[in-house]
Order: sequence, then structure tokens, then C-alpha cells
Amino acid sequence: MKRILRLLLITGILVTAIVILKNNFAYKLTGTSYGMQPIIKEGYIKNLFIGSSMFRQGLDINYMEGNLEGSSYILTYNGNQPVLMLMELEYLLDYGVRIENLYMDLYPYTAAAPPWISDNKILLDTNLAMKIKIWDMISENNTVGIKEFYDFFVSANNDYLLTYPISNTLISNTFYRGGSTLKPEGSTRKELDALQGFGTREGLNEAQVGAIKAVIALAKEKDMNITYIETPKYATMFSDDTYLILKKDMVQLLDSMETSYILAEDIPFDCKEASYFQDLIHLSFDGRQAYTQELVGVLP
Amino acid sequence: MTFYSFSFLEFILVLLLLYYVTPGRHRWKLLLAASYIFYMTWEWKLVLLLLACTLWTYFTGMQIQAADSRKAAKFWLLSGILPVLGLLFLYKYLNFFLEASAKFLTVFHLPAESKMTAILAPVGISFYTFKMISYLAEIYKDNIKAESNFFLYALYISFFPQIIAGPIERPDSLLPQFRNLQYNPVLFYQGFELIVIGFFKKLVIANRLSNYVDTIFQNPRDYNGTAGFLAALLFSILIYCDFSGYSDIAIGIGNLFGITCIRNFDKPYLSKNIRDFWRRWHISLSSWLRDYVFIPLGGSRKGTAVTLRNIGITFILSGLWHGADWTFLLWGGIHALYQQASLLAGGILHKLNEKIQIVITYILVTAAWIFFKANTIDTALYMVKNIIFNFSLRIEAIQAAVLPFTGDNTCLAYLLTVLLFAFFIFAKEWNEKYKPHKKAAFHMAWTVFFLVTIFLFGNFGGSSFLYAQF
Repeated sequence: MKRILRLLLITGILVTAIVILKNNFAYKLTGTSYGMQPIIKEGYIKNLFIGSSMFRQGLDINYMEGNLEGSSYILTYNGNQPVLMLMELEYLLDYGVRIENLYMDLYPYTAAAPPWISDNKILLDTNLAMKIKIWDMISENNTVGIKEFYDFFVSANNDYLLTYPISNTLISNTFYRGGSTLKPEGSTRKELDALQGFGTREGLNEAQVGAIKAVIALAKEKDMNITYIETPKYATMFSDDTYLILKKDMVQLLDSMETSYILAEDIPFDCKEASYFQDLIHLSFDGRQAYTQELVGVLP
Repeated sequence: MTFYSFSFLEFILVLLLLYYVTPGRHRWKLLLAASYIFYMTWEWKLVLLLLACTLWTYFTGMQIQAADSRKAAKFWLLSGILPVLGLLFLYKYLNFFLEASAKFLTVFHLPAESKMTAILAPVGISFYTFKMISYLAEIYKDNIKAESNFFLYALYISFFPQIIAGPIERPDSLLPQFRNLQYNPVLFYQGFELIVIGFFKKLVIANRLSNYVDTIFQNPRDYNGTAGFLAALLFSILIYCDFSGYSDIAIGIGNLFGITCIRNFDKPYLSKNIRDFWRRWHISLSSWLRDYVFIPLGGSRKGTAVTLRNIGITFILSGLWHGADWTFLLWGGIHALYQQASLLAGGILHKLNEKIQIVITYILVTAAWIFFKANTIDTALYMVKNIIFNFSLRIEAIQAAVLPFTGDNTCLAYLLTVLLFAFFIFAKEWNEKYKPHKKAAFHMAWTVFFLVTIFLFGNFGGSSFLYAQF
């Protein structure tokens, strides 16, 4: 029995030490071509795009680099919600990053969701204080327990860290300044028509609306030009009532805050062209190129 | 209540506490109560079936012993076994046979109406019925005396660590232990180590692989041959880690209560040939089939033709035991063919280097697992065809094969992690077989490593143990 207790004690000490080390220092091991750390190292970004995978897949970083004045960077996390985008922006500003033009993802569904961390990579990219801030936000808005705590602080990103030399090399090679360098193929009309929509939502979430307002206020306070951008969605999304209602609410919100935005319909882009889409909301390589060329022409 | 649920942890801690404050001679009563409570957490209604079968086989066991002639003993043996087998047939195989006979009649354009019934097989029925048969057969063979205490016999049948998915412990090894249950610190520690290894296999390896393997095997046509190959390879790891993990935990729990159990797995993927594999894989079932099917049929003593037949029957039954489906039958048939071919070829593998023998055996076993895992024979054949003709090591093919793990760019890290841990298990077994290390500190280091890894990499939300469905 003593031996078992000794083993459990050693295990407890080791696990605690690993978890503390990970949560405090893992951000030093993050990628050099994606996430927040390269921005912090650079210190100044002229055009910063903060969003979700729709920005990553929908914006061609190479084209923007060549055609926009100054440096550009795409900061994305899967399913990035307004509450998290606010925290990411604050985190960067806390580290003294200067941003001139801020472009935010306008995706109504994430603004309608209850606050939650949808991509653990954020935890890999940030220090302990930021993690605690995110955890507090999640706890305030959801019922969380030991399992969520364990997933958040203990098990998140362990695979990546264990295989860091290989994983980081391979993943870093698929990014350039936050933009995807992969060239995904488009779908066929049949494939896209077979995909289901995203169901109904009960309007925009209060916390997300608060975060959007806070981002806009912060941008004004720090003298950043802020623009919200809606990347193109496949045609069926634009006939989805829920999507249209949420989008209308978002637009009303931005109008009330006197904030500029570029909607998908403001750009000449064929949303019925199936080869431009991987699925209903993500652009293919061809779609990314076609859209970015048009977008760059209208960016303020 | 699965072994890796918090409720089971609470159950076992309370039970251990009560167990060791109870005087030794009464401990088995506590185990019996705990076993029935445990079974009821799975299926409280079917506990009556378990009790009825236990009562009937207890009664027939007494009759076999009391019989004054071999004929009478045989009568009671069959009276005990047949109803139990009948129940097993009813719950597990009736639908399969109804469906098969309907299809057979359709071939001859005869009117066929398959009346399938929605019967859910009681959990653990394949295991506890085999224990009952084993008990009756051993009394009949005069190897053991019938247990006079019904409640001790009921504990043998329902012993909670083993009732869901074995091992199928023999009565001569388990029953005598219940009479003298003592605290054994060495055994207690061994049990703890086994439980840790079992959880490592289940939570860190098997649970992490199950989603991927299920995805590919359910829709193999949506994936390339590389994904099919990876799924087949990973299923061989999954089923081993899942089932041997369960067995390790079951045996380990027994050890905590001062009970030793037979080893159910002995490094099966280090087997040199298929025969060797079956000496190391699910040992309690393999030896059961050997003792109660293969040997009574004549074993290998009546010439090559009869031996080939006996191998065929035994392995087909083994396949059928795993489930009422053509895929399991074919899987059993493939293993029978392997053994028969090996017998006819006179063991040509023996001439090869030992490591090459191990690799060939592993490939053969893994190929057969495809039929075990696939939902239909068509799916299995498609998987095989896809692996042979559409396997590619092009980077795009590998990317497409690995992506289903997580659906994003963390998929490779996920795969590499699980492969690394599977390698640790393999390395540990390799060392135990070829470079046994006796120092306690070495074993303690492994245990700490497994414990830390369970905490940091365990997937606690996975499915139940695969063999619980058999």
C-alpha cells in the first residue's frame, strides 16, 4: 500500500509540474508562421485580419502582401468567436503590438453562439494569465465542471507538444503569415447541394454583441481603422432564413456603432460557382484567389 | 458502470474498504453482493436470468456428482448444458439463423418470411454461460467436486471483474480461492500495476483510435487505400489494447481482493505463427475451446483429415462465439485456414528468422481482423481490394488518410502520439520477452510513466469495451 501511495505521489508531482510548465511556457514553442506569437515578435502590423477558418481559407495572404500597402497578417482560430477575438486583440495590444488597419470576420453564426473556446490552439499561443481570463469567460457563460477544467488546463494541446518537432514543422509549412498555403480543391454543385445548413439560432448572443462593441471601442481608442468583412458563402447559405436574420442583426449593430463593413454581396464574386467552395462556408484555392483580388480593390 | 467511470472508482474504493474490515471468512459474501449489484447496474432486469441459469447449473452439477452411472451423469450434463446453450442461442443467434434461413429459402424461390425479434443479448452472457459449461464438464470429468455452497458457486459465475468480458476463469482455479480470501500485499501491488497498464491501453490507445477506425470501416468507399490500410493496422492495435486492457483491469481488480486469475493475453503480436498466436490471444477462450470442443472431437490424434476438420469446427465456433454474423464466421474460417495450411505445409515458417516469422504472423492476423471489424463481407472485401489497389505513399494520399483523425491540422500530432504510445506497449512486451528486467525500480518507472500518460493523454469519453458486446 505504501508503494502504491508513493507511486501516486510521484505521479501527482510529475503531472502537476508538467501542467504548470505547459500552461506557463508552451506559447514559446508555437509556430513561426501562424498564431499570435509571430505578431508579438514583429510588433507592428499594418493590416491585421482577425477571424475564423473562413478568413484563413478565404484570404490569399500572398496576393494581399503584394497588393496592399505595408505588412499584412491573418490571425485565425477555428470558429473564432467575437468574445475571443476581443481577447486576442487585447492580448496583442498588451504586448505592445501596433496595428493600423483592423479587419474583423463578420460571421453571424459565431456571434449567435454562447461563448466557448472552439479551438484549443488559442491556449497554446497564450500565457497563463490569458488562459485564466478565457476560463473565467467560459465559466461565467456556461456550466463547467472537472471535465472542462481537465480538457482546458491538463489535456489541451498535449499531442502537439509531445510531437512538437514534427508537428510544428509540418503545420508551419502550411501557413505563411497566418494565411493558408494549402490549395484545397473546390466541390461540385451536387456535393454542395447535399450539405445541410447550420440550423436555427435565437438571435445574437449578448456576450458576443458586447464583445463586438468592445472591439470597436478599443479600435477607436487606439486609433485603428476597423472594418468588418463577410467572406462569401455558397449560394444556399444566402437563402437560409436564420443566416439572413442574424446577418441583418449584425449589420444593424455595426450601423449603430458607425462601423464600416464589407458584405459578400458588395464584392463581385459568383457565389453559385461550386468550384470556388470547399463546403458551404469555406472557399477553395480558386475561390480564395478570385475573392481576394476583388476584396483588395475595395479595402479602405 | 464501466471500469473507467467515476462511479466504478467509488464502487471499488468503498468495496475495498468494506472488504478488508470484514473478517476473512465472510469476505466472499461481500463479493457476491457486490457482483450482483455491479451486474444490476448494467441490466437489472436480466439479473433474474443470471440467477436462474446459476440455480439450474448448480442443481445439475450436484446431480452429475450424485449420478450412479456415466449414463446418468451424461444425462445431467446435457440437462445442464443444453438449456444454457439454448438461452445463448435464443439471445445471440436466433435472429441470425432466422435471417440466414430466410435468405436460403429465397435462393430456391420458396416462400420465406423472416420474423426478426428485437432481443437484446444480456451483457456477459457469452462469458458466464461458458463458465457454467466449464463447471459442469469438469464435474463430469471428475476433475472437480460439485460446489455444495450455492452462494459460492453463484460468486464464481458472477464475480464482478469478469462477468462482462471475461476472462473465462475455470472453476478449479477460482472456487477454492473464495474460501480463503486474505490480504496479500504483493498481489495487491501487482493488481494495481495491472490496472494501470489496462487503463493505459484502453484510455490512451484504444479510445483514441476507435473514432478513426469506425469512420473508415463504416464508409470505406469514402476513403483511399492508404486510409484503409491505416484503419486495418490501427484496428489490430485497438482490439488488442481494448481487450487485453479490459483483461488486465479485470485480473488486477481480482488481485486487489487477493484473488489470482489466469493470464488472458501473453504478447500475442510477438507470436511466431498462428498456432502460437492462439496460445497467447484470449487464452481463457482459446483453452476453453481446446478443452471442450477440439479435444472432445478427437483433437489431433485421429489423423490429418480429422485434425483439419476439428480445427475448422473449433475456429468456426470461435468466430460464431464472437457474434452472430457472417463476418465473424469468415474471420474464424480464415484462422482455421491459416492453421490448416500451416499443418499441411509442415510448418515452413519455422525455417525463417524469428523476427520475420513474427512479422508474417502479424500481417496474417491483421488481414483477418478486417473481416472481424467490417459490418459486412462486402465491406471487408472492398477494404481488402482498396488496400491492394489504392494504397499510395504520395503525400496527398497520406494527408487524406490522416485527416479524419481530427478533421484539422492537429490530425498528424494525434496519430503520431497514439503510435508512439502503442510503440511503448510493444517495446515493453518485447523487453519482457527477450530482455526480462527484474529490478523493481524499472517496473515502478514504467508504472509511473503509464500513470502520468493516462492523466495527460487519456481519452475518458470513449466507447465501452469492445468485448462487452460479445
